[in-house]
Amino acid sequence: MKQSKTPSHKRGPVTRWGRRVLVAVFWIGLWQVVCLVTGHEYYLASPWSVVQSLWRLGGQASFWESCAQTLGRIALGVFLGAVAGCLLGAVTARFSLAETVLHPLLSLIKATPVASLILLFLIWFRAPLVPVVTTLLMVLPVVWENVKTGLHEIPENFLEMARAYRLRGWKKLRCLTIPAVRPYFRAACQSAVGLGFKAGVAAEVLSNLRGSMGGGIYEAKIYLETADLFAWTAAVVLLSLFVEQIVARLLRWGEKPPDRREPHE
Amino acid sequence: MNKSIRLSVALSGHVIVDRFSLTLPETGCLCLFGPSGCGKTTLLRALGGLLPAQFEPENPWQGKKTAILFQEDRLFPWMTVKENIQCVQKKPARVLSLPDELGLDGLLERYPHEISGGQCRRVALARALCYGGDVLLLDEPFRGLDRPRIEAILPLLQREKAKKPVLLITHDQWEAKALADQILWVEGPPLRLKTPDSSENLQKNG
Repeated sequence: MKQSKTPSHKRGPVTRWGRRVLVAVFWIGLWQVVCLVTGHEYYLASPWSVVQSLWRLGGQASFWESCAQTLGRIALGVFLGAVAGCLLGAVTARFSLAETVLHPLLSLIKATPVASLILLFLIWFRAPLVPVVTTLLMVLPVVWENVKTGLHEIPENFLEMARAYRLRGWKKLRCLTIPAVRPYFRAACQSAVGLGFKAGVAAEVLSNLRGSMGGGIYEAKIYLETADLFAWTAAVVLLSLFVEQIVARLLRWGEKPPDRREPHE
Repeated sequence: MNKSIRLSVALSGHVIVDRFSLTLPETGCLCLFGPSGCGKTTLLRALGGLLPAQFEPENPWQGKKTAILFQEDRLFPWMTVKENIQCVQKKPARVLSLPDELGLDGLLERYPHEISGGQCRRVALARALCYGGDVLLLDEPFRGLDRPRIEAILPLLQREKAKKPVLLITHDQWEAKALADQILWVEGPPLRLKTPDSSENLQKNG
Protein backbone atom coordinates (compact mmCIF):
# COMPACT_ATOMS: atom_id res chain seq x y z
CA MET A 1 0.00 0.00 0.00
CA LYS A 2 1.30 3.40 -0.93
CA GLN A 3 1.82 5.71 2.03
CA SER A 4 1.78 9.49 1.78
CA LYS A 5 4.69 11.44 3.22
CA THR A 6 3.95 13.62 6.23
CA PRO A 7 5.15 17.24 5.91
CA SER A 8 7.99 18.02 8.31
CA HIS A 9 5.99 20.64 10.27
CA LYS A 10 3.17 18.12 10.88
CA ARG A 11 5.40 15.39 12.34
CA GLY A 12 4.43 14.27 15.83
CA PRO A 13 6.28 15.28 18.99
CA VAL A 14 7.92 11.83 19.22
CA THR A 15 9.55 12.26 15.79
CA ARG A 16 10.60 15.81 16.60
CA TRP A 17 12.15 14.83 19.93
CA GLY A 18 13.73 11.80 18.31
CA ARG A 19 15.49 14.06 15.80
CA ARG A 20 16.65 16.37 18.58
CA VAL A 21 18.08 13.48 20.57
CA LEU A 22 19.89 12.19 17.48
CA VAL A 23 21.39 15.64 16.85
CA ALA A 24 22.50 15.86 20.51
CA VAL A 25 24.04 12.37 20.33
CA PHE A 26 25.93 13.38 17.16
CA TRP A 27 27.47 16.48 18.73
CA ILE A 28 28.30 14.83 22.05
CA GLY A 29 29.86 11.95 20.10
CA LEU A 30 31.97 14.40 18.11
CA TRP A 31 33.01 16.10 21.37
CA GLN A 32 34.05 12.71 22.81
CA VAL A 33 36.10 11.89 19.68
CA VAL A 34 37.93 15.25 19.81
CA CYS A 35 38.51 14.66 23.53
CA LEU A 36 40.04 11.23 22.83
CA VAL A 37 42.25 12.71 20.07
CA THR A 38 43.43 15.50 22.40
CA GLY A 39 44.03 13.03 25.19
CA HIS A 40 44.19 15.61 27.98
CA GLU A 41 41.26 16.40 30.28
CA TYR A 42 43.17 19.56 31.10
CA TYR A 43 42.65 20.92 27.56
CA LEU A 44 39.22 19.56 26.86
CA ALA A 45 37.06 17.88 29.49
CA SER A 46 35.16 14.82 28.28
CA PRO A 47 31.36 14.89 28.18
CA TRP A 48 31.24 12.31 30.99
CA SER A 49 33.52 14.45 33.23
CA VAL A 50 31.32 17.46 32.62
CA VAL A 51 28.18 15.49 33.48
CA GLN A 52 29.88 14.28 36.68
CA SER A 53 30.89 17.85 37.57
CA LEU A 54 27.40 19.12 36.88
CA TRP A 55 25.92 16.36 39.02
CA ARG A 56 28.30 17.18 41.86
CA LEU A 57 27.62 20.92 41.60
CA GLY A 58 23.89 20.29 41.40
CA GLY A 59 24.04 18.57 44.76
CA GLN A 60 25.39 21.70 46.45
CA ALA A 61 23.04 24.39 47.71
CA SER A 62 25.64 27.05 46.84
CA PHE A 63 25.32 26.14 43.13
CA TRP A 64 21.61 26.88 43.11
CA GLU A 65 22.16 30.06 45.13
CA SER A 66 24.72 31.18 42.53
CA CYS A 67 22.25 30.41 39.73
CA ALA A 68 19.54 32.42 41.53
CA GLN A 69 21.91 35.36 42.12
CA THR A 70 23.01 35.44 38.47
CA LEU A 71 19.47 35.01 37.21
CA GLY A 72 18.23 37.84 39.45
CA ARG A 73 20.92 40.27 38.29
CA ILE A 74 20.52 39.43 34.62
CA ALA A 75 16.72 39.53 34.79
CA LEU A 76 16.93 42.98 36.41
CA GLY A 77 19.37 44.17 33.73
CA VAL A 78 17.20 42.79 30.91
CA PHE A 79 14.08 44.36 32.41
CA LEU A 80 15.66 47.78 32.90
CA GLY A 81 17.28 47.60 29.44
CA ALA A 82 13.95 46.70 27.84
CA VAL A 83 12.11 49.54 29.62
CA ALA A 84 14.81 52.09 28.76
CA GLY A 85 14.97 50.75 25.17
CA CYS A 86 11.20 51.15 24.76
CA LEU A 87 11.27 54.71 26.09
CA LEU A 88 14.26 55.76 23.98
CA GLY A 89 12.85 53.97 20.92
CA ALA A 90 9.55 55.83 21.30
CA VAL A 91 11.21 59.20 21.87
CA THR A 92 13.66 58.88 18.97
CA ALA A 93 10.95 57.60 16.61
CA ARG A 94 8.71 60.54 17.50
CA PHE A 95 11.19 63.44 17.67
CA SER A 96 13.87 63.79 15.01
CA LEU A 97 15.85 66.14 17.26
CA ALA A 98 16.03 63.43 19.93
CA GLU A 99 17.14 60.97 17.25
CA THR A 100 19.92 63.36 16.13
CA VAL A 101 21.07 63.98 19.70
CA LEU A 102 20.84 60.38 20.97
CA HIS A 103 22.04 58.47 17.89
CA PRO A 104 25.77 58.89 18.75
CA LEU A 105 25.04 57.41 22.17
CA LEU A 106 23.45 54.36 20.54
CA SER A 107 26.43 53.95 18.18
CA LEU A 108 28.84 54.35 21.09
CA ILE A 109 27.14 51.68 23.20
CA LYS A 110 27.05 49.29 20.26
CA ALA A 111 30.70 49.80 19.30
CA THR A 112 32.34 49.84 22.75
CA PRO A 113 33.93 46.46 23.66
CA VAL A 114 32.04 44.73 26.48
CA ALA A 115 35.29 44.16 28.39
CA SER A 116 36.02 47.92 28.37
CA LEU A 117 32.55 48.65 29.67
CA ILE A 118 32.87 46.07 32.44
CA LEU A 119 36.26 47.41 33.55
CA LEU A 120 34.92 50.96 33.56
CA PHE A 121 31.86 49.93 35.57
CA LEU A 122 34.15 48.17 38.04
CA ILE A 123 35.66 51.60 38.70
CA TRP A 124 32.33 53.38 38.89
CA PHE A 125 30.02 50.89 40.67
CA ARG A 126 30.05 48.29 43.41
CA ALA A 127 30.80 44.78 42.07
CA PRO A 128 27.23 43.34 42.42
CA LEU A 129 25.89 46.21 40.29
CA VAL A 130 28.34 45.68 37.43
CA PRO A 131 26.56 42.65 35.83
CA VAL A 132 23.22 44.49 36.07
CA VAL A 133 24.49 47.63 34.32
CA THR A 134 26.44 45.60 31.75
CA THR A 135 23.37 43.52 30.88
CA LEU A 136 21.28 46.69 30.71
CA LEU A 137 23.68 48.22 28.20
CA MET A 138 23.69 45.06 26.06
CA VAL A 139 19.89 44.90 25.94
CA LEU A 140 19.26 48.63 25.53
CA PRO A 141 20.47 49.15 21.91
CA VAL A 142 18.74 46.00 20.64
CA VAL A 143 15.35 46.94 22.10
CA TRP A 144 15.82 50.64 21.29
CA GLU A 145 16.49 50.00 17.59
CA ASN A 146 13.76 47.39 17.21
CA VAL A 147 11.09 49.51 18.89
CA LYS A 148 12.10 52.50 16.77
CA THR A 149 11.94 50.39 13.60
CA GLY A 150 8.58 48.95 14.66
CA LEU A 151 7.15 52.44 15.17
CA HIS A 152 8.49 53.61 11.80
CA GLU A 153 7.04 50.54 10.10
CA ILE A 154 3.44 51.14 11.19
CA PRO A 155 1.63 51.39 7.84
CA GLU A 156 0.68 54.95 6.91
CA ASN A 157 -2.78 53.65 5.98
CA PHE A 158 -3.41 52.59 9.57
CA LEU A 159 -2.12 55.88 10.96
CA GLU A 160 -4.43 57.78 8.62
CA MET A 161 -7.30 55.50 9.62
CA ALA A 162 -6.56 56.23 13.28
CA ARG A 163 -6.61 59.98 12.55
CA ALA A 164 -9.87 59.74 10.61
CA TYR A 165 -11.59 57.80 13.39
CA ARG A 166 -10.04 59.94 16.10
CA LEU A 167 -8.16 57.12 17.82
CA ARG A 168 -5.95 58.99 20.27
CA GLY A 169 -3.98 58.48 23.47
CA TRP A 170 -4.41 55.18 25.23
CA LYS A 171 -6.94 53.93 22.66
CA LYS A 172 -4.51 54.44 19.78
CA LEU A 173 -1.75 52.84 21.83
CA ARG A 174 -3.93 49.80 22.63
CA CYS A 175 -5.53 49.37 19.20
CA LEU A 176 -2.64 50.26 16.90
CA THR A 177 0.76 51.09 18.35
CA ILE A 178 1.33 48.24 20.81
CA PRO A 179 0.07 45.43 18.53
CA ALA A 180 2.09 46.82 15.58
CA VAL A 181 5.34 47.14 17.57
CA ARG A 182 4.92 43.95 19.58
CA PRO A 183 6.58 41.53 17.08
CA TYR A 184 9.62 43.82 16.89
CA PHE A 185 9.80 44.06 20.69
CA ARG A 186 9.45 40.29 21.09
CA ALA A 187 12.24 39.60 18.58
CA ALA A 188 14.45 42.13 20.36
CA CYS A 189 13.82 40.61 23.79
CA GLN A 190 14.56 37.09 22.57
CA SER A 191 17.94 38.19 21.17
CA ALA A 192 18.59 40.39 24.18
CA VAL A 193 18.22 37.58 26.74
CA GLY A 194 21.09 35.60 25.17
CA LEU A 195 23.22 38.72 24.89
CA GLY A 196 22.36 39.66 28.47
CA PHE A 197 23.51 36.29 29.81
CA LYS A 198 26.77 36.45 27.84
CA ALA A 199 27.63 39.96 29.00
CA GLY A 200 26.25 39.58 32.52
CA VAL A 201 28.23 36.42 33.25
CA ALA A 202 31.35 37.99 31.68
CA ALA A 203 30.88 40.91 34.08
CA GLU A 204 30.60 38.49 37.02
CA VAL A 205 33.80 36.74 35.92
CA LEU A 206 35.76 39.98 35.53
CA SER A 207 34.47 41.37 38.82
CA ASN A 208 35.17 37.99 40.50
CA LEU A 209 31.78 38.09 42.12
CA ARG A 210 31.56 35.36 44.77
CA GLY A 211 28.34 33.38 44.95
CA SER A 212 27.50 33.83 41.27
CA MET A 213 27.81 31.67 38.15
CA GLY A 214 30.54 33.98 36.86
CA GLY A 215 32.31 33.57 40.20
CA GLY A 216 32.08 29.78 39.77
CA ILE A 217 33.64 30.05 36.30
CA TYR A 218 36.41 32.26 37.68
CA GLU A 219 37.24 29.85 40.48
CA ALA A 220 37.24 26.85 38.13
CA LYS A 221 39.71 28.71 35.92
CA ILE A 222 41.96 29.63 38.88
CA TYR A 223 42.17 25.97 40.01
CA LEU A 224 42.44 24.68 36.40
CA GLU A 225 39.31 22.58 36.91
CA THR A 226 38.41 22.34 33.21
CA ALA A 227 35.47 19.99 33.84
CA ASP A 228 34.00 22.46 36.37
CA LEU A 229 34.57 25.31 33.93
CA PHE A 230 32.62 23.38 31.29
CA ALA A 231 29.94 22.46 33.82
CA TRP A 232 29.40 26.09 34.89
CA THR A 233 29.36 27.17 31.24
CA ALA A 234 26.81 24.47 30.41
CA ALA A 235 24.69 25.64 33.33
CA VAL A 236 24.80 29.24 32.02
CA VAL A 237 23.83 28.09 28.52
CA LEU A 238 20.97 25.94 29.81
CA LEU A 239 19.68 28.73 32.05
CA SER A 240 19.91 31.24 29.18
CA LEU A 241 17.97 28.95 26.83
CA PHE A 242 15.36 28.28 29.52
CA VAL A 243 14.85 32.01 30.24
CA GLU A 244 14.73 32.75 26.49
CA GLN A 245 11.89 30.23 26.12
CA ILE A 246 10.02 31.71 29.11
CA VAL A 247 10.39 35.25 27.74
CA ALA A 248 9.25 34.15 24.26
CA ARG A 249 6.17 32.45 25.71
CA LEU A 250 5.36 35.40 27.97
CA LEU A 251 5.60 37.85 25.08
CA ARG A 252 3.54 35.63 22.79
CA TRP A 253 0.81 35.40 25.41
CA GLY A 254 -2.30 37.17 24.23
CA GLU A 255 -0.74 37.96 20.86
CA LYS A 256 -2.94 37.53 17.84
CA PRO A 257 -0.54 36.97 14.97
CA PRO A 258 -1.91 37.13 11.45
CA ASP A 259 0.41 34.35 10.32
CA ARG A 260 -1.97 31.45 10.93
CA ARG A 261 -3.47 32.12 7.53
CA GLU A 262 -5.92 29.87 5.84
CA PRO A 263 -6.72 30.32 2.17
CA HIS A 264 -9.91 32.19 1.38
CA GLU A 265 -12.74 30.29 -0.18
CA MET B 1 -28.26 74.27 3.72
CA ASN B 2 -26.05 73.30 0.78
CA LYS B 3 -22.55 74.82 0.85
CA SER B 4 -20.64 75.79 -2.27
CA ILE B 5 -16.89 75.57 -1.95
CA ARG B 6 -13.78 75.63 -4.07
CA LEU B 7 -10.71 73.67 -3.09
CA SER B 8 -7.15 73.03 -4.22
CA VAL B 9 -4.80 70.26 -3.16
CA ALA B 10 -1.14 69.80 -4.04
CA LEU B 11 0.84 66.71 -3.11
CA SER B 12 4.66 66.80 -3.26
CA GLY B 13 4.51 69.86 -5.50
CA HIS B 14 1.99 68.30 -7.92
CA VAL B 15 -1.39 69.98 -8.19
CA ILE B 16 -3.99 67.22 -7.92
CA VAL B 17 -7.05 69.36 -7.35
CA ASP B 18 -7.01 72.92 -8.70
CA ARG B 19 -9.78 75.27 -7.54
CA PHE B 20 -12.40 72.55 -8.00
CA SER B 21 -15.90 73.83 -7.32
CA LEU B 22 -18.60 71.71 -5.80
CA THR B 23 -21.71 72.11 -3.70
CA LEU B 24 -21.84 69.93 -0.61
CA PRO B 25 -25.35 68.86 0.31
CA GLU B 26 -26.89 69.09 3.79
CA THR B 27 -28.24 65.58 3.30
CA GLY B 28 -28.27 63.21 0.35
CA CYS B 29 -25.57 61.62 -1.73
CA LEU B 30 -23.16 63.44 -4.01
CA CYS B 31 -21.17 61.15 -6.31
CA LEU B 32 -17.86 61.78 -8.03
CA PHE B 33 -17.68 59.50 -11.04
CA GLY B 34 -14.51 59.27 -13.06
CA PRO B 35 -11.45 57.24 -14.06
CA SER B 36 -8.88 56.13 -11.51
CA GLY B 37 -5.99 58.50 -10.86
CA CYS B 38 -7.97 61.64 -11.62
CA GLY B 39 -7.88 62.93 -8.03
CA LYS B 40 -11.22 61.80 -6.59
CA THR B 41 -9.71 60.08 -3.55
CA THR B 42 -7.44 63.07 -2.91
CA LEU B 43 -10.51 65.29 -2.85
CA LEU B 44 -12.26 62.91 -0.45
CA ARG B 45 -9.27 62.83 1.90
CA ALA B 46 -9.04 66.64 1.80
CA LEU B 47 -12.73 66.93 2.67
CA GLY B 48 -12.18 64.43 5.50
CA GLY B 49 -9.43 66.65 6.91
CA LEU B 50 -6.70 64.12 6.21
CA LEU B 51 -4.78 66.24 3.71
CA PRO B 52 -3.78 69.89 3.82
CA ALA B 53 -5.95 71.75 1.28
CA GLN B 54 -6.97 75.28 0.43
CA PHE B 55 -10.68 75.84 0.85
CA GLU B 56 -12.59 78.90 -0.38
CA PRO B 57 -14.32 79.65 1.94
CA GLU B 58 -13.55 77.19 4.75
CA ASN B 59 -14.23 73.45 4.72
CA PRO B 60 -17.85 73.15 5.91
CA TRP B 61 -17.13 69.63 7.22
CA GLN B 62 -14.08 70.76 9.23
CA GLY B 63 -14.41 69.65 12.84
CA LYS B 64 -17.41 67.47 12.10
CA LYS B 65 -17.31 63.82 13.01
CA THR B 66 -16.55 62.22 9.66
CA ALA B 67 -16.79 58.49 8.98
CA ILE B 68 -14.59 57.43 6.09
CA LEU B 69 -14.73 54.17 4.21
CA PHE B 70 -11.33 54.09 2.55
CA GLN B 71 -10.54 52.53 -0.79
CA GLU B 72 -8.65 49.80 1.12
CA ASP B 73 -10.37 48.03 4.02
CA ARG B 74 -7.69 49.04 6.55
CA LEU B 75 -8.78 46.43 9.10
CA PHE B 76 -6.32 45.76 11.91
CA PRO B 77 -5.06 42.19 11.33
CA TRP B 78 -4.56 41.63 15.07
CA MET B 79 -8.20 42.31 15.90
CA THR B 80 -11.30 40.25 15.32
CA VAL B 81 -14.12 41.60 13.18
CA LYS B 82 -15.96 42.64 16.34
CA GLU B 83 -12.91 44.40 17.82
CA ASN B 84 -12.24 46.17 14.52
CA ILE B 85 -15.72 47.64 14.58
CA GLN B 86 -15.78 48.39 18.29
CA CYS B 87 -12.39 50.11 18.35
CA VAL B 88 -13.79 53.21 16.60
CA GLN B 89 -16.80 53.50 18.88
CA LYS B 90 -16.58 55.91 21.76
CA LYS B 91 -18.27 53.54 24.21
CA PRO B 92 -18.19 50.07 22.71
CA ALA B 93 -21.46 48.25 23.39
CA ARG B 94 -21.17 44.87 25.09
CA VAL B 95 -23.41 43.37 22.44
CA LEU B 96 -22.65 44.72 19.01
CA SER B 97 -25.79 45.21 16.98
CA LEU B 98 -25.04 45.41 13.30
CA PRO B 99 -27.45 46.05 10.47
CA ASP B 100 -28.77 42.76 9.06
CA GLU B 101 -28.14 44.01 5.54
CA LEU B 102 -24.38 43.62 6.01
CA GLY B 103 -24.70 39.89 6.69
CA LEU B 104 -21.89 39.74 9.23
CA ASP B 105 -23.57 37.35 11.66
CA GLY B 106 -21.24 34.53 12.57
CA LEU B 107 -18.13 36.43 11.48
CA LEU B 108 -17.66 38.62 14.54
CA GLU B 109 -15.06 36.43 16.26
CA ARG B 110 -13.01 35.84 13.11
CA TYR B 111 -9.85 37.67 12.09
CA PRO B 112 -9.64 39.61 8.81
CA HIS B 113 -7.38 36.94 7.28
CA GLU B 114 -10.01 34.33 8.01
CA ILE B 115 -12.73 35.99 5.94
CA SER B 116 -13.07 36.78 2.24
CA GLY B 117 -12.30 40.10 0.55
CA GLY B 118 -15.99 40.90 0.15
CA GLN B 119 -16.62 40.17 3.82
CA CYS B 120 -13.70 42.44 4.77
CA ARG B 121 -15.30 45.19 2.70
CA ARG B 122 -18.56 44.79 4.59
CA VAL B 123 -16.70 44.89 7.92
CA ALA B 124 -15.04 48.15 6.86
CA LEU B 125 -18.46 49.52 5.92
CA ALA B 126 -19.88 48.35 9.26
CA ARG B 127 -17.05 50.15 11.05
CA ALA B 128 -17.79 53.38 9.20
CA LEU B 129 -21.50 53.11 10.01
CA CYS B 130 -20.97 52.16 13.67
CA TYR B 131 -18.67 55.15 14.11
CA GLY B 132 -21.71 57.33 13.62
CA GLY B 133 -20.60 60.74 12.51
CA ASP B 134 -22.15 63.75 10.84
CA VAL B 135 -20.70 63.04 7.41
CA LEU B 136 -20.11 59.77 5.53
CA LEU B 137 -17.37 59.54 2.90
CA LEU B 138 -17.42 56.38 0.79
CA ASP B 139 -14.51 55.53 -1.51
CA GLU B 140 -15.57 52.67 -3.76
CA PRO B 141 -17.75 51.12 -1.06
CA PHE B 142 -18.87 48.14 -3.13
CA ARG B 143 -15.45 46.98 -4.31
CA GLY B 144 -15.39 43.18 -4.35
CA LEU B 145 -19.12 42.78 -3.69
CA ASP B 146 -21.52 41.03 -6.03
CA ARG B 147 -24.68 42.67 -7.34
CA PRO B 148 -27.17 40.85 -5.00
CA ARG B 149 -25.09 41.85 -1.97
CA ILE B 150 -24.90 45.48 -3.15
CA GLU B 151 -28.65 45.51 -3.65
CA ALA B 152 -29.05 44.23 -0.10
CA ILE B 153 -26.82 46.98 1.30
CA LEU B 154 -28.26 49.88 -0.72
CA PRO B 155 -31.36 50.44 1.49
CA LEU B 156 -29.02 50.81 4.48
CA LEU B 157 -27.00 53.52 2.75
CA GLN B 158 -30.15 55.19 1.51
CA ARG B 159 -31.29 55.49 5.13
CA GLU B 160 -27.91 57.01 5.99
CA LYS B 161 -28.05 59.62 3.23
CA ALA B 162 -31.46 60.71 4.40
CA LYS B 163 -29.86 61.73 7.72
CA LYS B 164 -26.48 63.14 6.68
CA PRO B 165 -24.40 64.17 3.68
CA VAL B 166 -22.76 61.26 1.88
CA LEU B 167 -19.93 61.61 -0.64
CA LEU B 168 -19.60 58.60 -2.93
CA ILE B 169 -16.65 57.83 -5.17
CA THR B 170 -17.03 55.09 -7.74
CA HIS B 171 -16.09 53.88 -11.21
CA ASP B 172 -19.33 51.97 -11.60
CA GLN B 173 -22.16 53.81 -13.30
CA TRP B 174 -24.80 51.44 -11.94
CA GLU B 175 -23.61 51.98 -8.36
CA ALA B 176 -23.55 55.74 -8.86
CA LYS B 177 -27.07 55.84 -10.24
CA ALA B 178 -28.36 53.45 -7.57
CA LEU B 179 -27.28 55.60 -4.65
CA ALA B 180 -26.45 59.16 -5.71
CA ASP B 181 -28.75 62.16 -5.88
CA GLN B 182 -26.23 64.08 -7.91
CA ILE B 183 -23.36 62.78 -10.01
CA LEU B 184 -20.33 64.84 -11.02
CA TRP B 185 -18.50 63.34 -14.01
CA VAL B 186 -14.87 64.20 -13.46
CA GLU B 187 -11.47 63.73 -15.07
CA GLY B 188 -7.91 64.78 -14.36
CA PRO B 189 -5.49 65.37 -12.80
CA PRO B 190 -5.89 68.10 -11.93
CA LEU B 191 -9.43 67.18 -11.04
CA ARG B 192 -12.04 68.94 -13.19
CA LEU B 193 -15.57 68.41 -14.42
CA LYS B 194 -15.58 66.36 -17.59
CA THR B 195 -17.80 68.75 -19.58
CA PRO B 196 -19.54 71.97 -18.60
CA ASP B 197 -22.87 70.15 -18.26
CA SER B 198 -21.47 67.06 -16.61
CA SER B 199 -23.43 67.43 -13.43
CA GLU B 200 -26.38 65.10 -13.38
CA ASN B 201 -29.11 65.73 -10.87
CA LEU B 202 -30.99 62.52 -10.37
CA GLN B 203 -33.64 64.06 -8.12
CA LYS B 204 -33.73 61.12 -5.78
CA ASN B 205 -35.24 61.29 -2.41
CA GLY B 206 -33.75 58.08 -0.95
